[in-house]
Amino acid sequence: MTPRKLIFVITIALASCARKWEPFSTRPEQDRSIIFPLSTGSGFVDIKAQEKTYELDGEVLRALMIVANDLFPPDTSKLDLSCTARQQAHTFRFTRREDIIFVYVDEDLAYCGRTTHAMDSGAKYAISKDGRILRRVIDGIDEDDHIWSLKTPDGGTVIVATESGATPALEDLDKPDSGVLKIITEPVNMPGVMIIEPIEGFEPIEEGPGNVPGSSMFPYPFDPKTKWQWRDGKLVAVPQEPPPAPSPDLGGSTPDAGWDAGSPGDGGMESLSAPPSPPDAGAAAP
Amino acid sequence: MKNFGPFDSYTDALLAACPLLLSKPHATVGHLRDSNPELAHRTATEYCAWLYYTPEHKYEMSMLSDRPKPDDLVTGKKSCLLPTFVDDSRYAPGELKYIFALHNHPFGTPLSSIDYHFIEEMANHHDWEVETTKGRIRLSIIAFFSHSKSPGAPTCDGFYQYIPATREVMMWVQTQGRWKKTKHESLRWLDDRTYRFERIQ
Ligand SMILES: [Zn+2]
Repeated sequence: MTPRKLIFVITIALASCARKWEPFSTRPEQDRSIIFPLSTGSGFVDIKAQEKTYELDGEVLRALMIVANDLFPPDTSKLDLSCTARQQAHTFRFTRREDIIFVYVDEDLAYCGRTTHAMDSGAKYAISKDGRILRRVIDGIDEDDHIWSLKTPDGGTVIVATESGATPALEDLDKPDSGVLKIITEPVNMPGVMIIEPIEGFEPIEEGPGNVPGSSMFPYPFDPKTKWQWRDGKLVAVPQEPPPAPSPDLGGSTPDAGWDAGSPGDGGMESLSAPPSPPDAGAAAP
Repeated sequence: MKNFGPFDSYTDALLAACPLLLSKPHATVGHLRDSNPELAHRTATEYCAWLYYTPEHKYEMSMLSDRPKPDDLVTGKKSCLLPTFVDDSRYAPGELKYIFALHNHPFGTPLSSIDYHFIEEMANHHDWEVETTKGRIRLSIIAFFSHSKSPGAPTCDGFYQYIPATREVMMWVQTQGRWKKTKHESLRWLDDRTYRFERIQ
């Protein structure tokens, strides 16, 4: 097993460098053709620094340092910062796909004794192996890609990533101007990934009785087996066929491989000593 | 919050809160996006507040939170830390019902994945659905945005909303005083190490 195929979660205090620091001191290229991986590849590893020994290659370390220094001041000892604003109060998750190192920064709630997140507290970066920021998505500032689950005429689903928030049309997928950045074929199991299912037949509706800003239309409690469609301006429930049995071949050919991938652990949390299943890292970036 | 409401309808309260949040300093920076993107990034600020329902059957808003001063100057993040509970000295804890977790997105981006997490975490502390004299209201997170070119008096141009109880994701936009729902979608989490939506009681 090669360590670079694995995903690590680590919280590290990185070495500081002496210079005047400003947030976003590096100007990223913001290459929208780079899609953040939706798959953990061959596994998810949570590094607990105790007891085991790990070796990190220099390119990954540099990528982590670039991210940490872009987002946080390297030396906070003289600043009166709240706990949540500190570098060491965050987790740094990374996965490497060929020449790109993807880094995800999240709050480490336990570090500051908290139980709930701050809104828009996440960030993610794509760093080239030669140390350039290729893409940066800071919550509240940069628009992320949109991940959709679309129904195909044969009753299947296809998962696509788009640049804009406009719902992609299935019949346009093959066209160059469809807005679709990528058709996702790898199992989707990266922690925190969310998929939007457009509600079929929806047309913008003016406010009116039963449809006022802030109101909800679905019944509660939520029933995952119920799907919704708009018919004649009304939301109606349509019965769902049971999902097809999972294909043994999770790689490549099945567009919705990994859909409903079971419990969160299935993604999954693997220990370093347990050999992962055959790698299916599939380069996320073209 | 003083000088806000109280309101008899949640929609009125929501639509009053929108321009109020957006008119705070650097709450909307879209006007700088092209002319000075670095300044826009550096100054953009998020504000957040709870809209809640009181035992007097009124809708009120908590004080606005933003990041403590040294923090927002030194980190590159633009987060907003909304306390789980509102401190309203007129009422005992537990008497207030939490409805909307409000905040602004300075660049008008959609809700972030942490926004979705946040409101689901809040759903561990607050009711999914609140019974009011005029029907039920569901706990949700809302992000206001403005396309305004004049930062002095930004217009409330719309908001994104997510309701964890029903997984509805919506977008509302306003043109010339008329509101229109322009998106209505359903969200599902595929995987998360620590949280799974189906865990909801
Ligand atoms: Zn937000």
